Amino acid sequence: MKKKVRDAKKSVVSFSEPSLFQRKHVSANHGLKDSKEGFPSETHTTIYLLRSHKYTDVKLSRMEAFSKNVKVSEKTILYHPSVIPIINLQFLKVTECDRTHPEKSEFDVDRRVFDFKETGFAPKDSTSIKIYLKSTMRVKDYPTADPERFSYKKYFEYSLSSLVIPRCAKKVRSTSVSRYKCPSIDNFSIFEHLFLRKAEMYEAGSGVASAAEQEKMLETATKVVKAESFEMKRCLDKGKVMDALKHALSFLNELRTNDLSPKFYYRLYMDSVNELQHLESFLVEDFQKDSGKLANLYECVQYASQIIPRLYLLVTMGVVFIKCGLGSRQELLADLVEMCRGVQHPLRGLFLRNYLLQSTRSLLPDRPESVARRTNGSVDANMNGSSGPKESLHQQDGSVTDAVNFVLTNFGEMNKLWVRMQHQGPSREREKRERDRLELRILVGTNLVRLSQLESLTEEMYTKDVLPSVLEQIVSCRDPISQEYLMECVIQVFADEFHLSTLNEFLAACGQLTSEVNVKNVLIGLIERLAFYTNSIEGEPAPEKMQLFEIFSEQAKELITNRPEMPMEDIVSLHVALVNLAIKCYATRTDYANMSFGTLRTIINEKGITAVEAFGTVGRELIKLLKIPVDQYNNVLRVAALEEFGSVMQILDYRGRCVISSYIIQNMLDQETLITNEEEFRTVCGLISPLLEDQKDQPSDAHESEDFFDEQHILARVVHLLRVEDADQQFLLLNNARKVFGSGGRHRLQFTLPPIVFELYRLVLSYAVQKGTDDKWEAKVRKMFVCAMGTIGALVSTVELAELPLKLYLEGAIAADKVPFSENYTVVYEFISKAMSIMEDDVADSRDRVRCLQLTVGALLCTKNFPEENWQPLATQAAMAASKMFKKADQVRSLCMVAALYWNGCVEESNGAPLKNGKRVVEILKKSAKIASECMEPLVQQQLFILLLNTYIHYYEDGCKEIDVHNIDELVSRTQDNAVQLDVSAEADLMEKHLTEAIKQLKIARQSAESDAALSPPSEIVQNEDL
Amino acid sequence: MLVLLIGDLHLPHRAHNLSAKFRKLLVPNKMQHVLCTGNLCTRETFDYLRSLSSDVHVVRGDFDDDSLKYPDTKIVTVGQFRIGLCHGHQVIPWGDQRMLELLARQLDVDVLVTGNSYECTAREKAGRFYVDPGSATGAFSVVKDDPVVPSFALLDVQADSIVTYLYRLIDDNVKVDRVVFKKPRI
Repeated sequence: MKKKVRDAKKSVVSFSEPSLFQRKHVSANHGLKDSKEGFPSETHTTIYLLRSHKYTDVKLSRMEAFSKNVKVSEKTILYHPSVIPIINLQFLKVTECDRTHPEKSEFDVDRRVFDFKETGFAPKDSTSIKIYLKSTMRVKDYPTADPERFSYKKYFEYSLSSLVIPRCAKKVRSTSVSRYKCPSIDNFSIFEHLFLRKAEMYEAGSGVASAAEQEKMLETATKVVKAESFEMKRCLDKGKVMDALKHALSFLNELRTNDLSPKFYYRLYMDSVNELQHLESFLVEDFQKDSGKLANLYECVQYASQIIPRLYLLVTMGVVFIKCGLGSRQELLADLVEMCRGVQHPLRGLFLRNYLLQSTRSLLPDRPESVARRTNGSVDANMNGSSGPKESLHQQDGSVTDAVNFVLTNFGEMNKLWVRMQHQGPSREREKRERDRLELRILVGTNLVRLSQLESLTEEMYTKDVLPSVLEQIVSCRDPISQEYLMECVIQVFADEFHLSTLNEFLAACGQLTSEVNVKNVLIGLIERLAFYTNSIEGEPAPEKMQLFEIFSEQAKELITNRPEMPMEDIVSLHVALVNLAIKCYATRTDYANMSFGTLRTIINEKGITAVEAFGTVGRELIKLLKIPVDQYNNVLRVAALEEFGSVMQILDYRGRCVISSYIIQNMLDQETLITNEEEFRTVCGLISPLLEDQKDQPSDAHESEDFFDEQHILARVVHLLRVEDADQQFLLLNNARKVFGSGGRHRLQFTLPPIVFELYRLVLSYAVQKGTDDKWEAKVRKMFVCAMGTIGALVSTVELAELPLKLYLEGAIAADKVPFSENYTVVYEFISKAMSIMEDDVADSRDRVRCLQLTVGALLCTKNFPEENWQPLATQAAMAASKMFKKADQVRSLCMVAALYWNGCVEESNGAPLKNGKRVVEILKKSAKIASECMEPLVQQQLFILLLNTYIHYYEDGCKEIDVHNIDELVSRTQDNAVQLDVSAEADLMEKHLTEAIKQLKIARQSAESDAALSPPSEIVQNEDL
Repeated sequence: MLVLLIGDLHLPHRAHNLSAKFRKLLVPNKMQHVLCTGNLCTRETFDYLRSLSSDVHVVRGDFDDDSLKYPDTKIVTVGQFRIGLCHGHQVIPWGDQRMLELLARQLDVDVLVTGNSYECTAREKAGRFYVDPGSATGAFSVVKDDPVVPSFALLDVQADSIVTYLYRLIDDNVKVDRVVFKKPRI
């Protein structure tokens, strides 16, 4: 780039220069050389000359000389207006060049701009942006210019990098918009887009400098503060107080800035105040050493010329004086708070007054009027005597009334400043201003905190002076941000007792707030605070409490009628607070909560709102509202006592009602709320009805959702909460539940019926013990089984399930077998045969079948009281089912399993002893061995052989004498042969292992069998064979 | 290393909830593994177990829905021990000790965890350890004559031994029994 510039210079020099101009110009040039220091008038002349001259070429060369000179002092020239004419000249030249030497022009423009950059005009300057923009414009104006070759982009980049100055952003934007409407330059569009966006971005944040800029400004200011405060401390050390004050003034001067946003201003303020504290403590210490030193400093500082530094110093001095006991505290405070009125700029004023408040926080008079009067008198008496400075340190006049007045005045002024902020500056910056204001609110609120910290502030004073004055200030400022914040402040900072005694005044003020204020938040804040308070103190007289709810309830009603535009969710959340108050503080008065629910329902009904979406803003509030009594009462029956609870629930849509219903159930389960009679059951059902049966507004695919499953599962658990001691009652209750759940339709039945069946079994087993206490015992037991069977039947017929009812039938069989009613085996038989016919008819999948048979055999083995004649057909049926399995492997497995029936099964005749029918076992095993050998897959066959082997060993071990050991040996050798032929695989290895294990086991079994045989003759076997 | 053994919850079929006392005991991230003998019956219960530990193993109980695809048996290795897991309704006759021993041999496990008896037990036989955590909810069962005592078991697996804690809820009080199983030296 440098080279390019040099070449270009040569070309410029080659232009001829008329002598006239040269002569005239000598003097001007002379002036230029002196221009290093500031701008002598000659420079302006030169520029003027240059502008007026016709010969642009000459002008340019001169100008170049000029710019070479100014380079030395570029910092000074940067903001000088003369720059612009120079640049304009440059363009003039270029345009001329375009006309005469079109081929050269393009190059020239480039050069000029770079030149311009080289001269040191930093791009972060509005002027330079204009120049860059101009260059892009010019290039575009030139008709033959090839956009590709022109370095538009470069200029734009300069402009963009200059955009840190938001003031220029608008200009840049408007220029670029007007410029690039021309569609011929397409390759510009992307860049333009980017450019526009950036410009807009900056424009949005305009008005005040950007964060980076602010940071920089803050840095500069802080540096000054540091340097000056250092000087100040040095002067203090040397004892030069007046010089120190001068330095203090100069760093306080930085606080006069207009450019910092609240956040940055705060940082600067903190730095400055820290230094002031140093000054303050030094002066106080100094005074204790030498009391004559302070003299008239309080007056002295008032000669400072700038108001901001002056007042900061004045406050500091005032504090020093109060601390040292010089002058009247009462008067000093009053004076300071008055003097601060001098600053009316919101930001600066707020911080100044904050300083006043903070630095006097430990100095405010805080003792009752009466005490103050007495001590003042005594001080006066002392003064007449010998009053030295040491004593005067403790001489503090004024009472809490003065402190209150001081803070109230300060509060009023600060609030005014704060509110005024809203009305300054252009309206488009409103949002930003409101943000700033929110950042500053704490400064205003601190006043109220300070008031609440005054220990001598009595309830009477609060009621008579403080609150009315604060409320008046809040109401009269008519500013929503201020009103909302300050009302909340009042609620939070003052004591509960104060609130209770001024409730009416406060609520009246609430009514006078502007309509933009969200009064509901204020009200909720107060209700919550008082609810917490009244709840925490015990033994509170009831009438006072009662009033509280009624007052708030009335207030809420008024608020809602006065503000018809109040959003629904706010109305609901207001009621959330009311219900909270009612339930937490008036545990015995359910009518209060009910009343709130009732009013809310009326309001909602009046507005014609129905089917509120569960997860919308209103729905969420409603759900919150409905959860309160559930959580607080922890008893569904008490919740149900709120008559309006249900009607408010109805306002929600299907999902919302389900959410509440399951919430109630969850609470019942957690609290183990037992349902002990039909009445209670009906009440509960009333609350959870959305889960019990199809709803009108329920989506057609509702039963497919996960929520539906979860809700039905949780509903099903409720059945176990039905618990009465008396068996008749319990049965009635279960029957009732069966009826209620029965209307739920097939999608719900599959969840809700099984628990009922189990509860029936539980009931019947516990009732079994009461045999003989009731004449109708037999009939009742039968009835229970009939009911259970019917319920399972519904699962088969209505829901069309197979496996689940089968399992339930089997459980029923086991239960019936245990209850000693006459001919109970008929019921058992019925249960098992039903289960088996389901298996036969409805279970198609072979794996499911194996499983079902497994369960059936397991259940059959649990029954002990079958007469032989009933047992046989069932066992045979099971064996049949096993041999009818679809796959050979399944047949083998099932048969091995069924064999257990003949060995381990019990019948009535065997009196609880196992049948041990070895003959049948062997038959079955032989049959399955035959089937196994037919199996074609070597691996599967091997598996089956090992299974068989294990089964044989098992019965052999168990003393089954019919088993021929040679048969086992034969099987072992076959299995071993098979093993050799298997392909190498992990499964084969595993099988090998199993085989070895089995052979080992066989060995053990053999040894023990041989030793057994030696001990006892085989008489038992004969006996068993007879069976 | 702590291993929780739990099963036969039967929610919502046979019980309304896991007792509050147990819920307080079963805190997340205490147990490294959860072995469940089945009969969770709902996904919700499984989610609850998942909240206790990230490593949850479940086998199929007789009342578990087939669609959940739990396996019939599972082997989990914890430290030096192979732990076999099976619900037990597949072992015919139900609860038959010798059949369980056969299963343990076949699975070649040091510890066999089964359910289906609705009683919390732990015993050692021929160098193998048999644990039944019982029913955590005290779920009703027709095979039991007495009311079912809610129970679960906790294995503290150490280098060469397992300390088993059996938790039973009797009259709403948690009773704990301790059984130690030492791995036999081969």
